[in-house]
Amino acid sequence: MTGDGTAVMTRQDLVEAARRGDRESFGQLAAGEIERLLAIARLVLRDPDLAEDAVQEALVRCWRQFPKLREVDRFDGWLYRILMRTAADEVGRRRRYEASVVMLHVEPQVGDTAAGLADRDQLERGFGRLSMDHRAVVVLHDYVGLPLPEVAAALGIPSGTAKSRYHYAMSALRASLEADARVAEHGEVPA
Amino acid sequence: MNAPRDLDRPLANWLRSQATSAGSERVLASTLARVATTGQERYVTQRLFGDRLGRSRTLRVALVAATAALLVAGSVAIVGSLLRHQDPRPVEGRNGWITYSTSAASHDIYVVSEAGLSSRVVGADGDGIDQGCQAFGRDGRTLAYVEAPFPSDTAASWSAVVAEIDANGRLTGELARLTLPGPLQASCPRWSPDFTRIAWVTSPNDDGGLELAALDGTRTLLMRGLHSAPDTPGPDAALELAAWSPDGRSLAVIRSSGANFQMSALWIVPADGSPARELVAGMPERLIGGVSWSPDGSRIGFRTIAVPTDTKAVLIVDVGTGEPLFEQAAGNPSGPAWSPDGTRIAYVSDGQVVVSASDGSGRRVLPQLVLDVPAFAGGVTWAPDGTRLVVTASDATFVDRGVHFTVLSVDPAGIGPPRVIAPWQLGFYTDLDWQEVPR
Repeated sequence: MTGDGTAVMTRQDLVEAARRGDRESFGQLAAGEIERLLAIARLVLRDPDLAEDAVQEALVRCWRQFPKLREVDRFDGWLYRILMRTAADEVGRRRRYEASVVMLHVEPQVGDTAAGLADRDQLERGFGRLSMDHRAVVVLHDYVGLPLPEVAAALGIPSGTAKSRYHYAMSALRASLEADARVAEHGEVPA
Repeated sequence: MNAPRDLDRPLANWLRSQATSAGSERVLASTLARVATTGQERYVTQRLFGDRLGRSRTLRVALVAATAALLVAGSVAIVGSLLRHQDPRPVEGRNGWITYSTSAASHDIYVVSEAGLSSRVVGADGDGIDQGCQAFGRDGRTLAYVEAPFPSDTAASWSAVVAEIDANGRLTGELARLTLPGPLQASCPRWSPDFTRIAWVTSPNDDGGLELAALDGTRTLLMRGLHSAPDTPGPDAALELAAWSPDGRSLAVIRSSGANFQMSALWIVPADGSPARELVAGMPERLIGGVSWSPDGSRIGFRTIAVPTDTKAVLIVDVGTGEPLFEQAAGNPSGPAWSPDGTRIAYVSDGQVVVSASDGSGRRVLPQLVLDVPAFAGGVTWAPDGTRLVVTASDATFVDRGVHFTVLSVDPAGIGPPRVIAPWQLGFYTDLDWQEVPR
């Protein structure tokens, strides 16, 4: 209780209450999570519309399956796992019905230097060349900050696979940046 | 950019710079609106023993084991009785059986007649195995399919199966099973028309490409994919297996390269390992999909999407020369489906079925499909005798969420109402094939 007698619910309380079926608590929980989930989904899927669909579907699945969550402490990993499965489903649905990928357009940040812009362009290009599986590992590890064993749990893959995917992704990203840099040195426009 | 160098800091900064709260309030509002009308799922044990105790995996396993033991005992008696007394189901119409797979509960394979007799022939709820990519054999006596543990993109192995199917649409046994190393890529493995070889695209992690396996397990790499495509622009090329030629001598493969793999070219790859040739050259930011051969193998149809302008079209080219024979602008088109005699094509444009002669003449847009609500077509396949079309459809445009799907059959001339082949459901229907069954 606070000094004025108002009950304060912690995040764990919200998870407990949502698991028991309290929609209001789930709403508060979702409001706190949605920006992070959207950021993750946009990075992994590289398509803002698809990312919004995936996040909405993931949260609805989360609500439906909440009573089955055994350990409240594992909520984060469980939610990431649902999000990644849903993202894969959305991609499958898009591939089957549209076969079109619209790349996420990112506006340059105010105050970027020319070098910073070039860095961002090359990072974006290199990142976009990674497969969705590899992007997922990089985002969960480097953006969300999960250790690789937890990344593996969130993606439902063996820990060794997560490590090798991360290693591959970083190698591919470095190789891609190096290739761009070589092209730029010769005065050509990168593909 | 200076390279090489340590990526950790710039990558982390760049990832953080991508975070934006745009759209979060809208997504939250629509999510909570759905949650308001959505119930929660509970294990049976939670209903029987309460939430806390019911979450116990041990309790669930014990209950499942006890139930299974009872079911097995009862089923032995019931199935034995049915086998003794069951009459074979009648064959419905001369167009035989339609097959589809569905993702509603798990990816399983169904066989259904146009009159609606339906049965799941491969797979079971919760078996943890995806089955699909299926096709009927030309003689109508076989069904070939693929199965892999879920999720297939990390599975250590997968299987290609040829099964015998009887005139009543029942699988009566496996004729061949080939187990191959995984994981599987997004595009379906494809059996050769005579079901003696299977082609698929192997994982890019293994420096893979287009592979072919014979029934004795002999494998041949026909075309390299990622990391090693010196003859294509850009550092990499991604492969998608599209279709076998009707004579089983070649495969059509979509090879995407360039920035973001958005330059698709169509290649013809001989199955005997001789050199491949580029039939349709890649153009920057143009995607190719929905590839199908004409029944006589002389033409190939496909759809294109020009990414910058979102312009879409259906095309047919000559397999010998690559010369375009037909091009028609279309909205969100499917690939063209060829009538059995090769004289007509059907495709979807803006949710409606379009039928024309294969040279584009006599184009007819069929009326909007309507059941209890409007149904928007997504894909189309011909009946073996060319008198009907089977269509997958959704109850909203496919960019919407919460879409329900159905399978219908319609008259290619647009006469009469559609017939419902499979009911509305949340999961989509894929891998449709329609085959005449011999008497």
